[in-house]
Amino acid sequence: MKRDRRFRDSQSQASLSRRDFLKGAAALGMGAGVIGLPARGALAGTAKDVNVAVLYPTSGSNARFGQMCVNAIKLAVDDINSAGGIKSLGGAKMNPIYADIQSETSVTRNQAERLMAAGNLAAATGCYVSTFTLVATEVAERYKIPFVTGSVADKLTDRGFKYTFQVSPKASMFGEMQMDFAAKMAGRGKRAAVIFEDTDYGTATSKGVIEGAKKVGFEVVMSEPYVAKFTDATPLVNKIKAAKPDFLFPVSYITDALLIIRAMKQLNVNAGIFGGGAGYLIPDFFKDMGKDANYVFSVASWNNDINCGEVPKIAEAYEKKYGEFLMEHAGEAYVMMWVIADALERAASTDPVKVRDAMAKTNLTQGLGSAMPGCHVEFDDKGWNKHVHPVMTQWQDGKLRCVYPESDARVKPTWPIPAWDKRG
Amino acid sequence: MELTTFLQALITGILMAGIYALVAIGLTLIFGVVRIVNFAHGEFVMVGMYLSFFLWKLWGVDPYASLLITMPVLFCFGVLIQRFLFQPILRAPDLAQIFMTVGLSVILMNLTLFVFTADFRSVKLSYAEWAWRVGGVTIPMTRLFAFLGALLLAGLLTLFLTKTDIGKALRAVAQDREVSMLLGINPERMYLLAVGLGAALAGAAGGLIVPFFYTFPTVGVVFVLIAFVVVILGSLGSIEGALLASLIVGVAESLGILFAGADLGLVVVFAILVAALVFRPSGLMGAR
Repeated sequence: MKRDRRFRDSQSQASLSRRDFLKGAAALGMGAGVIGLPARGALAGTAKDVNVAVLYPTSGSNARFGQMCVNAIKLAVDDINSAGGIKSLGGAKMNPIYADIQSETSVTRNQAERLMAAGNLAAATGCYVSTFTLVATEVAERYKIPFVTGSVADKLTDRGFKYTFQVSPKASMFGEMQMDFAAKMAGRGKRAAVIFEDTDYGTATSKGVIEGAKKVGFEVVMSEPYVAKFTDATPLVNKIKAAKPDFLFPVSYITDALLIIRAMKQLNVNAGIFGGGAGYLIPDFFKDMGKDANYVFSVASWNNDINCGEVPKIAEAYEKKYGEFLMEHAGEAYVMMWVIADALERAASTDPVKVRDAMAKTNLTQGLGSAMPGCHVEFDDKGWNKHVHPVMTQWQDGKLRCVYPESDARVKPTWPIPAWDKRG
Repeated sequence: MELTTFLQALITGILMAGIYALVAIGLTLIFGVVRIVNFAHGEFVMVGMYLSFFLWKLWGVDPYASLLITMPVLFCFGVLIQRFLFQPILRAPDLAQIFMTVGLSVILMNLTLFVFTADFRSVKLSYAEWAWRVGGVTIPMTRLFAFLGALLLAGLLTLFLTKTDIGKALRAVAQDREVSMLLGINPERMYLLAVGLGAALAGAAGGLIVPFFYTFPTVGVVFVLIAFVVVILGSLGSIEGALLASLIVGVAESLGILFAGADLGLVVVFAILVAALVFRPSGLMGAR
């Protein structure tokens, strides 16, 4: 109080200067980090329940993706519990504890610490964005809590952590898949342009793309990182146009993906588009682009029509409940809950160390826990699902369909694609 | 490099500058008169975007026509914010003011997130993809409209500030509050007007952005960062400065992407800002 008054007296109101303005600008960063909505979700379930921490960004820049994952997890928990819960634990119910990591690494660390230090978790899952998952798994390793993720960074399981389990294909595999497919469609010796958003995700994925391009004999005529928060994609697409590529391989989030495709149409750039996942795979892409979304390819770690067991049934249930299709990461989030349930079932315990040991012996070839590309979930000694591979998808008549490899696809790819001005 | 590639980058940069200017002018107006740094300004733009979006979605109001509604609504919004949130802290320490506007920004952002979810929304207009092609250079219509709209509004504001009594009074308060009081001007009413106008311009920017951009809760952040650069570069409180600076920033960003790299557009912008701060510490229009 006293301090406050002193400040007030010394403050002459007309003297705010540039320096104060800049000082304020600096404080903005700090302020935004401190203030935020508190995490939702109750901490304690009933004694019998199995607590699983669910860490996703449901606010901040990754909120859209995080929210879809949380929706899928809610569906998975309902399905697991209504199927009788964990039978070896007397039908114990799954009790997810949701924490919003706010699309910030520091918040991710705090939330993970808070939940894991409480000592009542059997397992944890998250975080969609690799950068956050890397942080959360570090905390999990320290508290000895098994952490199942669908994030794709190679580093996640390359570190040799005992408590990290990665059901999804690794980032470095995506580029090779894209290039194999592109070469199969169009033949070798073409011109490829690679653009990628400049965070961990884009940088890691693009490396694989460029290596893959060289392997199949494509000439990489442009390789350029960009900041995803641009207000206009025209300058970037202008540059692409000047490079005259046959294919464009963009690695993007959401708005950047939409703005890039829209600018491609406006500037009439007719390169085949092979998206690197994320923004090219979500309902918003078609909602916004309409028929311009058609023919766009993208690599994915999962799709809602892969030729594997009951995938269409989950997809249908999700669409009915949330009014949009089940996208890549949300689909994996759903599968991961079943992987956790399977480990709990075999461990017959909620002790996280025992759950971890059971999880390391996971070998699912049927049921919802196996519903990844490859239809087989089994972890290698570093905790990576060794049977998984990426798939290629294409927007066909407003639906995102898996088109490659043949073993996973139910439909064929459309190729070649018509030029922008030749479309009806 | 082909000439068209360069011209395209140049024109794109100039068109981008219009929107940057509109957001920055509102910010600089509020700062110049009320002496408050409005960190919630991006969220004012966001509110304007949601208003325009829902006017279109629910009643089919064209986003450009919706300016006639969003601007008055945002004006009232700004007046209320000034009266009930900014006015009580005008004499408080800087830190209190910063936390007030940053807090307001976080509240608006999270409230929108809560009510409208994190969905990306966009309007579908028959003319959204119209583009004017001149000798290999493409000029998207919606961008051109936004640029012209921004110029028109900036011109009207300048006329208002230089030709009308109220406008002159507003400038008097910005120049010297004590003396303006001696001349019989009520500064608190001028504060209300300034924040109202600043918010209305942010709302207008929102309406002009909606046809070609996406509406989502954190969209303000995208525009406000550049706006702060523009305001500082163009001298705090100066409208002509903001116009000139936004042109420089827009073109620098666009050419930076072409020549330096797509992840370096903003680096070029900030490099210019740093250089400007070193050589002209009070900005382009600075008197000192």
